[in-house]
Parts: sequence; C-alpha cells; structure tokens
Amino acid sequence: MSEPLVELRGVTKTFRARRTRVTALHEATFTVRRGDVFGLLGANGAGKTTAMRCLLGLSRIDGGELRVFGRAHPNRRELFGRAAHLPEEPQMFAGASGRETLVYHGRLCGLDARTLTRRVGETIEQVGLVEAADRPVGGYSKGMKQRLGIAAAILSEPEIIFLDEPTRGLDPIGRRQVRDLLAALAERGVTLFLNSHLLGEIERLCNRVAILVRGEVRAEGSLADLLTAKAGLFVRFALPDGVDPAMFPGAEHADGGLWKLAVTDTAALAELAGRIAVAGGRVVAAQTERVDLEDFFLQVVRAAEEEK
Amino acid sequence: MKILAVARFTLLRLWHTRYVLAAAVLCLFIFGVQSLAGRGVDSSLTPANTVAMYVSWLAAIWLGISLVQADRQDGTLRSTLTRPISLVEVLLGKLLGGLLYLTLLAAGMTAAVMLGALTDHAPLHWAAATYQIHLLPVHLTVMALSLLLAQVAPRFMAGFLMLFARDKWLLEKITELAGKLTAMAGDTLTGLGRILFFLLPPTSRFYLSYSDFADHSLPASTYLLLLVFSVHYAIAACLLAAWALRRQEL
Repeated sequence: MSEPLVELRGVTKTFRARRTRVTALHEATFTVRRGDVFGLLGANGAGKTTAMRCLLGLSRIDGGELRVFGRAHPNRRELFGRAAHLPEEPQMFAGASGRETLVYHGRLCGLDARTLTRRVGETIEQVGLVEAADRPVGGYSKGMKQRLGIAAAILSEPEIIFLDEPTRGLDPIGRRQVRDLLAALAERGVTLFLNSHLLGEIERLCNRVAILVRGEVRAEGSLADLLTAKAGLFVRFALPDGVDPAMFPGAEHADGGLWKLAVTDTAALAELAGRIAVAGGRVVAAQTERVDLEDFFLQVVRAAEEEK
Repeated sequence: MKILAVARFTLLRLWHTRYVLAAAVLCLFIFGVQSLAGRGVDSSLTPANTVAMYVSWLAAIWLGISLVQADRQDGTLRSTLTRPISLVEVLLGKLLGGLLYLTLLAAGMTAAVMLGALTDHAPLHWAAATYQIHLLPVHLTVMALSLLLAQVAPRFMAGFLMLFARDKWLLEKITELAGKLTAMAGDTLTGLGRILFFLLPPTSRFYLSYSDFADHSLPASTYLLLLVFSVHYAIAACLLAAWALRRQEL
C-alpha cells in the first residue's frame, strides 16, 4: 500500500456566527494515499471546502489530528512547494496574458529561468492554450481560465493537487477537456484530491471517495468496494400470460417483457425460483448488480438523515 | 527572488492598469508647470519641483492603499498565497514594485522639469535636479505607512490620515507624544520590550523624517541614516500589515 499523503483523524472545525455555532466538520476521518484520485463528496454546505481549507492550512482545526506529507504542521513553504491548489474559480489578474500569469506562478515556485521557460511552454501545450497564451486572461472563457488554473497548478510538478469543484460552471465541452486533463495527470501518477458534488465526474475519475454529510464522513473507501458492498442480487424472470405479478411483491418491469426482483441472499433466491416455477414461469437470470454512485450517495445521505 | 517576482508582477499590473500612462500625463503636466511658472524666475526649478513632490507624495499614498486591495479584490492575493511564499514576502514585493514605479515617475518628472528649464534657459542646480530622486526613500515610507493603515482601516480613512501627515500642528503634537513615549520606554520597558519598541519605529519618527527629507537639505551621513531607516520602516510596516491581514478573510 502506498504512503499516505493526507490524513484526517477525528478532525473537528466549528465556526462561530454571532451567537450560534456551526459545526463544519465533526470528527472527520479519511486518508489519501500517493497515486490516489480521491473524491470528497457532499451536498452544498457539507464541509468539503472547509476540509480542503484546513488541509491547506488556510483554516485552523479545533480538534483531532491532521497530517499532510506525514507532518502535523507542515510550513507553508513545504506544503505549497509539494502541493498545488486549484480553487473553484481560479482568480488571476485580467490584464496579464496567460503566459505572463504562468511565468509569475513559476517564479513564485522558485523555478530557475531555464526550467521556467521549458515548463511554461510544456504546460501551455498540455492544457491546449497555445493560441491564446499571449492574450489577456480577461478575454478568456471560463473553461480557458480553468485550464490556465490547471496549468498554473501543474507548473511546478507537485505531488498532490487539491481541486475545488474543477468542472463547476463549465459547458459539456469544457468539462470534458478538464476531465481529460485530470485523467492524464492521474495516469502520470499525480495524486488528485477533488472536491465535488458532480457525482458523474467523480465516478469517472476517482478510485477512492469519502462522503461528507453535515460535516461527518459517512462513507470512505475504494469506489469499487463501496459500490459492490451496496450491490444487490437481482432475479429476472418471465411469467406466463394470466399470472398476476402481484404474487411477487416488489417486482418491477424489466426489458424484454421480463420482471425483476431483488433478493437478499441465495436462500431467498431458491425460494423465489420455487415460487416462479409453481406459477409456471422461469428464471431468466440471477446476477449481482452494482449501484451507481448517485444511488449510493443518496442512500448514504438518507441513512444519515434517518439517524438524525 | 520571490520578492522580485512579486515586484515585477506589480509593475506589470501597474502597466496594464494604465498607471504608467497616468505617470506620462503627470510628467507632461510638470513640464507645463515648469514652462509657465519658471519663466523669468532665477531659481526657476522650485515651483515645478514642489508640484512634482506633491504629485509623488499623493502617488505614494494612492499606491500604498491600493496595491494590496486590488490584489484582494480580484483574488490574485489568494492565488499568490497558495504558492511557497509568505505574506510578508508578498507585501515586501508589492512595496518594491510600488517603489520602482515611483522611481520611474520621479525620473520622468525630473526629466520634465529639466526639459522645461532648458527650453526656458533657466539655470540648472544639481540639488534641484536630483530633488525628486532624493525624496524616494521618504516616499517609500509614506507608501509603507499607507499600506499598513489600509489593512487596519477603510481605504478612505487611511488616505485621509495620510493626507495630514505633514500638518504642522499634528507634527508638533506627535513629536511631543513621541518624546513622552520614548522616555516611558526607557523607564518602564526592559529587555525584549525595549528592543521591540525601537525595532518598530513609532509613527512620530515617520513624520519627523518626512519633514527632514522634504524641507531641508541634509548632509550625506544623515541622508544615509534616514535611508536605512526608511527600509527598516518598510519592513516593520510589512510585518504589522501581514499580522493584520492574517486576521482577515483574504
């Protein structure tokens, strides 16, 4: 198992707003390992941005333990020397060109002149901004600004990139471009930490996720494991004409004139198969079906709400 | 190096926001003042140089209160701070960028004054020709204090306070207060407290130095001492401004 780059252990963060206290994170625990593409999911106000701000040292935690690169309190130079952050809306001076902006960020990262020239050229090409590189950023579309933000983030070849809602507000083409860029980075072994509530994006990109509900981590782990654990055993069966489907409570229409019913285990499957045979029908298929991330997310959120 | 990167970007920003164009217009204005006001006067560099001094002084106040605010407004400060650079370095870089701009402005205005004098066949004095450059350290101090005030008070208030920096009555009162504070520090503070008191020069020193710089011709040794003081003051102002900024949502 690869080394952990980010660890939260029982982290709590509370904000005071006038006379009330708002708990943004409550004993949040999760780990991001080197090479992970980690998605932190949650509805608006679930505490995703607060978690990211705490990790980046922009907010102080009230309790628990937080480690980045194995250190409880990495200083700013070490943290931002090895990590990069792409905020929800990359903010840049509108009057400067894309190239000037990248040169500025490269200098702040301490790149020497030769490396800087090489890396600026490479990243501009990588994010597909070759033609627009010398135009003022003020004239860029939202997608172009986002790509420039990614270029600035990858300029110094960081070990981990924190991305806050990287595809929010982009049109489908822009979303696809950003997603492809992130997939290419992940392929090169860069660890990605994504904050998002766009579940489709997370499902396509991430191998590990954590779900935050009102500041609490309600699920964490490998995406495949989490979705398989919530998978169900489904039986598809055919019934002869004249048989009332109400004999099989919960059965739903499936493709090809079949019926579909979820069973809990193999004993239940055997019992159902017997009933189908008695009714004159036949079992067409019995298979485990994966739920998608959206269903899983909703299940987790509903379970959390029921507990409350 | 990182401070230089911020300074370069600050200059780039000033260039793109037409501050350089404004400086060119001001230089033309100074040329006009010299051509009109200097006519027929013997020591004819004085009126234009006085106007130029006020222009630089106002520019220093304006830069001090707007440099960081502009970065905060468009989020550039936040994105800069997600790089391996400290807030103090960013502020020092901003001041350095502002100082470079003021140097360009001073050089331009000096050139305008000299050209105005040449076209008018007025006598040229070395002291008058270098007057604007000579004022640069104190304008660095003005800019640093404006930058600090703008982080702890609204911009208009910071600007208003700075406009009274050369008020005679205020100067006397502050000198009086500074004397008391210094005596008190000597009597009551010990060790670290005393070191801190003298490391963070009280505001009064700024007023005194401004007056000395602007109104008297100083010997080279005093000038050098005040030059060191200006740099010291700029660093102290950046440390305090960084302390104030850390307590705010950037």
